[in-house]
Amino acid sequence: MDEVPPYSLQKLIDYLNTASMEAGKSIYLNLILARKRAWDRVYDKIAEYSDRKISPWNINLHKTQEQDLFILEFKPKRGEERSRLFYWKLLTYNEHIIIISFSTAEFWDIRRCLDSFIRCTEGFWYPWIGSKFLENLDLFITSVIGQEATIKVRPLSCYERDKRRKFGIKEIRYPEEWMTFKEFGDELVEDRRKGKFVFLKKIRCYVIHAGSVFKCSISDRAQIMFEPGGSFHLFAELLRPLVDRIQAMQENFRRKMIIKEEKVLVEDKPIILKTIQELQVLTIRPEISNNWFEGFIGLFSNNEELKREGLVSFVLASGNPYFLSHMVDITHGSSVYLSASEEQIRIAPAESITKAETVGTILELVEKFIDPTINVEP
Amino acid sequence: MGLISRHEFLVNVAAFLASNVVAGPGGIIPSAGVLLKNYGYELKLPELEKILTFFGKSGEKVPDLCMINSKNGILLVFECKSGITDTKDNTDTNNKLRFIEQIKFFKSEQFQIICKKIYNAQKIEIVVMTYNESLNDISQIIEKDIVDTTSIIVWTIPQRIYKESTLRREYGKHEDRYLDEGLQHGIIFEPPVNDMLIDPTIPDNILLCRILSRLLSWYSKSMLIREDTEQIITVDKFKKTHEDWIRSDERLKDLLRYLSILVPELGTYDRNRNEYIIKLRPRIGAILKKQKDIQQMSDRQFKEELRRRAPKQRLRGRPLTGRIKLKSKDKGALEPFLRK
Repeated sequence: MDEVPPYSLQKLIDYLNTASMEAGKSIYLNLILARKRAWDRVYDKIAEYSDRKISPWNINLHKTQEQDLFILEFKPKRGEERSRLFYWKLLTYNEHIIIISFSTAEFWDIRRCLDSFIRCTEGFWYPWIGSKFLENLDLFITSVIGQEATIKVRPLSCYERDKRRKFGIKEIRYPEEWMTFKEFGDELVEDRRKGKFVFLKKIRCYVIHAGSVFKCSISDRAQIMFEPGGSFHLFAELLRPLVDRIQAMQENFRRKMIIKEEKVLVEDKPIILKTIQELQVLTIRPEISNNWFEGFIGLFSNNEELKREGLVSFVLASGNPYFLSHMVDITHGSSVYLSASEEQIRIAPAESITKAETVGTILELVEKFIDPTINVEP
Repeated sequence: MGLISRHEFLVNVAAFLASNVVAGPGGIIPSAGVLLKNYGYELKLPELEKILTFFGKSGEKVPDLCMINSKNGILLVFECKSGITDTKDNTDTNNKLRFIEQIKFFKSEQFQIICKKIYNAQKIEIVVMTYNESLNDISQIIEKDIVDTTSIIVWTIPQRIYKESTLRREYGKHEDRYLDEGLQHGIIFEPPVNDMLIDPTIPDNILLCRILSRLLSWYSKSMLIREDTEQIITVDKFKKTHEDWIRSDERLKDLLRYLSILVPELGTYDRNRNEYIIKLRPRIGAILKKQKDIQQMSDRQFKEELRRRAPKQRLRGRPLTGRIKLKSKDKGALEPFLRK
């Protein structure tokens, strides 16, 4: 490897702080969710990924002195190019793992290496945090580092629903100037009042607190770019609360159905009686848009539109006003029941356990096309 | 309403009212599981084919649902009726006669003894659940054609589901005073959040479509790293994943076999191993089209289509020239299949 790997998290944070402040490097942080079963097979998955003919990389996962700190090395198959390194810190929960990935590689390297690996590997995904979270990021930051912090925002990537466009959305531009979250929120509310459904994909913000400053951009899939010159130590304080939030959302997104079986003997013949002990349902109430129900039916009945997102919809009931569809997520191999009445959208499991990625994909679609203000508070 | 039948909707509304539903953080479902939470009635789903073995006479049907209150020992036996069509003859379209027969069967001593044993119940009440518009027809039939009307209660829900739809008791009286008072004032309910395969009357073609959509979730689009074990689905694996399957293993095997015949684009069924093998790259567009066609078929059309396509499947690979004759071993395998 080209660089001497930091062997503990504290050393890694010190190293990244120096890289940002002195060497002027950008730091890319990605929060990745993984199923424990998938992580147990990570070496097999890496080997399978590397063995692909089209893959330009050979990947190695190195252990460090700290048990839950790993280094993922992307080594080019051809040429003398240097390796790209990703430092992975693992946080283990009951059935899944949250990985915080740090890297000082270039932007396109992130796309070519990490994004490609996550996209192609089953059981690993970027968690959904949503547009509404980005809109209220200041509340999250001040709750962690204190009310006296100065926080400003500049929207980077915003979209508006537009049925006339091929993909149903169009990019819109806000003035490229720093503003407070309140000013930005007022603009969004004003736009939405006029009937423009704007949702945020990526924002840029800066934070000043107790003589330290940092700038970063963050996407609705928890992909963060930390800009050069900032205090990584200050930023590192936000990481754990962010992970906790994602963990809590993950719990909310995982839907399950428990059915109890009971065996009874009648005239010496055994018979099984089943009872639904628990059926977990995620309920959301859209607030702003007036005709969201019609839009909802239109979107989730149109398999051509859903194909792009890797979803297949089997509509069971439509109109009344009541909608029920069995949504199969063929990207992640999981399915849910999606239902809606005039007041609520509900997501319920279609098998014993529904994968969080599937619920995240559906919520992202609802946010993109139906209501940008949807949020699932942990 | 779309493809869910009016009868299936009634069954699911009733099941949803007596299930333990836990709402997520985004909101609450106030009416979910109201019969369980407030009145103690728990839904218990028996194995459909097995329960029929207790009733000797052929042609008798199992109840649509059963709910038991273990405190007072009252068992509610549900007959969901989406409407009454009386064609004055004894054909399939005349469901008035079948309804009368069904209620009489529920009142019979044989049914009452067996059900009390299965559910450990002291008393049985028959609940006819219907839409508001059918209330008069059903009440008249009960009054006119059924001699013993004690313990027969009619519940109604509106035809169109509003945000606050109300379930009411319109005929008869429950022995459970609390439940009776609640239903007299009306219990607010919301439409079901999922579709469990618990309606015993779902026709084969609809059941096949529901299984198809469930099987599709096994298939993963990622062509890169595939978990090989997930592509082969055994009966046990299906039942473990979809625990709302209350029919027999044999029935599931039959349906998987029908699926491989009618929708070969999704996968094949191995009769010897009783496994369904999903294709590496199923053609989703073609599957959706087939699913739509199958859903629109009548029961008769479905059987004819199955019969039409089954021999072709068996004879695949044989020379196309000349007259195709079934060999004796093919006949032996096909005939029981066609008889089903």
